[in-house]
Amino acid sequence: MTDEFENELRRLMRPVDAPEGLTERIMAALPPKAMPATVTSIVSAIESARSAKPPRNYWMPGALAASLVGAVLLGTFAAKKNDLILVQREEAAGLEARREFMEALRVTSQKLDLAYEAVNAPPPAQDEENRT
Amino acid sequence: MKTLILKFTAAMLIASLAPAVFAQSPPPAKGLLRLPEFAGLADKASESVNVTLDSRLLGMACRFLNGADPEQAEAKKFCTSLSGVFVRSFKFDKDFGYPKADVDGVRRQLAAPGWSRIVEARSNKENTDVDVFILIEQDKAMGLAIIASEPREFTIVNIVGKIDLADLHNLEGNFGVPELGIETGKTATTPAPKK
Repeated sequence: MTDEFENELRRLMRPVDAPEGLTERIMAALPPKAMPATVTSIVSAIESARSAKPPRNYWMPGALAASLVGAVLLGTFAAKKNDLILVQREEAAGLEARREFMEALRVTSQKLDLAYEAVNAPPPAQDEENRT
Repeated sequence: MKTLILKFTAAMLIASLAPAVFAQSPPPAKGLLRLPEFAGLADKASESVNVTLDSRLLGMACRFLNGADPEQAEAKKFCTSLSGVFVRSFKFDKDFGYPKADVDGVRRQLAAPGWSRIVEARSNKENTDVDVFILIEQDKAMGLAIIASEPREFTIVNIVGKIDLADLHNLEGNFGVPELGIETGKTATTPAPKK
């Protein structure tokens, strides 16, 4: 009984070849590449974080400067244009006021002339005119 | 308490608005006449002149007068002392196409103290009335008004401000202003002939 059991055990434990394609299946089942975990001490992590410089975006100050210059130029241009419009309006209003003033003088002179003629006209024979 | 706060707020609001309300109605300048609007009259008139130059516009007009031009130089000198020039002049194609009552209303304003009539011309033949008034204050002319009415035309001129009679005298001969014999310090009048 014991011999029979031992023989059976030997038979089962004898080296056998791996089934075909076992290696490929095992390799395929493994994760692609396990990265080894890096362990860093907290102190060194803090120090490295302190010493680390933020990534430099050189385009941002340039864009800001360009925007600033653009805004200043645009503002200056708008202000000059506004000033020009105001000056033109004032000039137009001034010329119109001058024209009206000259017109007022013309009308005034016409009426003074009328008064002058009436005052200096020779008195009529009949009592048609009354001048003071 | 709420009511008290509301009352206080309302009182403060009224108090803050009061100066603005009073500022809106400054006293009228001496020599300034209340000219009627003559609304719609320009449409009926064949010719019309409507000049409203307050002190601001008059200042602008003065600035734009060319001092190098002798005629404009005289006008500029005259202009700088003024604070307002107002002209309403209308010509019509038919007789008395204008509200005579409005013109008489302006004439009545000139009965106020200070105004003196320096020229009064009445022509019954031509139905023409011309009056020239001057506002004298402390021996200084502060306003000039001309009212001329004819059957087909009427004109009201109101010049406000310190009018230097010497300047007005200098204007005689310019702009067609006739030699009225205006002398400084006294008004020129011609005695009325006896009826």
